[in-house]
Amino acid sequence: MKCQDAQPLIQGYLDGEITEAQAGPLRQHLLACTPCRTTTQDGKALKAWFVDGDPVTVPAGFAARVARRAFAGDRGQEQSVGGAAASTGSEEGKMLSFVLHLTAVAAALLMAFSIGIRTGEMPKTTELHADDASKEWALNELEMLNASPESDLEAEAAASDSPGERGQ
Amino acid sequence: MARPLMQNAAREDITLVREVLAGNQASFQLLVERYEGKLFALARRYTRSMVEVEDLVQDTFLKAFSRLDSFQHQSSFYTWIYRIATNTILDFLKRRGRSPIQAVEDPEAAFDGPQASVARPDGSMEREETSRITYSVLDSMPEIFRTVLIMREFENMAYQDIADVLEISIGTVESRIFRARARFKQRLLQLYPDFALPQ
Repeated sequence: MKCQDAQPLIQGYLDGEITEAQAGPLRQHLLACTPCRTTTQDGKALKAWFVDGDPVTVPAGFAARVARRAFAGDRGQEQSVGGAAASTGSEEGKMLSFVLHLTAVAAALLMAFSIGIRTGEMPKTTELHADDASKEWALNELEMLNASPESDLEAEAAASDSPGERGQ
Repeated sequence: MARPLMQNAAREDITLVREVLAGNQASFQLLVERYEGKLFALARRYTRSMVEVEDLVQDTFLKAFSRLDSFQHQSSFYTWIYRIATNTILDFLKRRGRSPIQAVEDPEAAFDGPQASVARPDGSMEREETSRITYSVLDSMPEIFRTVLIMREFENMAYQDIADVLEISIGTVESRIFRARARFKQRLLQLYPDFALPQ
């Protein structure tokens, strides 16, 4: 075995992740090759750092408390973990969800309302025609104007321009 | 108190699971008592806060209870709950945003260069002191590396199991562990230069 074949196997060898068929030739190589042996020893030295400290103490009554909560219907923080902070976060999440739903409903209503207004104002047909009642009213007004004497019109205009009358 | 526990210790997990599903609260309490120590130790490796540790373990058991009917008995109860615990912890770390990977740095591409050799922990050092140094180094590392080192070195998880839990390929696990060790060694020598072996 050459160094270029041995080096990629060293980590797996230290972790027990290579087969005996791979480990055998590697061991032979390590006996003969100082650089690869040094790499292996470095790896072993590093692994020696991973030790646990004092065992963790489980709080008294933990199991009873958890069992009680489980049977009371508590399904855990499926969404979040972290005690009180998480609970607050959950409440905020509910409120945010409510506001978002409310906003969505309001937006939908507003859109329906504006579509309704727009549809009401739209002409019913593509044909253009005047409103008959408006047409009759306009013609009557025009006839009245034509029928009234010019002097009356001038008097009306003078009256409307007079500041004294405006003030009264 | 001790006598019932000793009697109950002989009862198989599978029996307890059946009893819990039939509505027996005491059986669930026994299951919790059986594995709480291991799960507290597991959670403690990811966070130094005992409040968070307790929350995480409690959450794990509550989730397990709510999904107990989906426990297939193909693996042991501990393997099943261990996976729930690991996912609960990783979700928590993700939510907390503990991922100190600098934007300028690609964690997968860092530290390929030669490094000094690191000494073994001093034989005169207390186990607790070694552990404190190790965790101080781990805590300064990006989550992507810290997680695989904890799984591999403390939990003795096989590459395949790590790949399954993290949902990555076994090749990625291998390369990530390699780089994580290089990073651990570099940080250890930065923080504690006395542990460098003379070249």
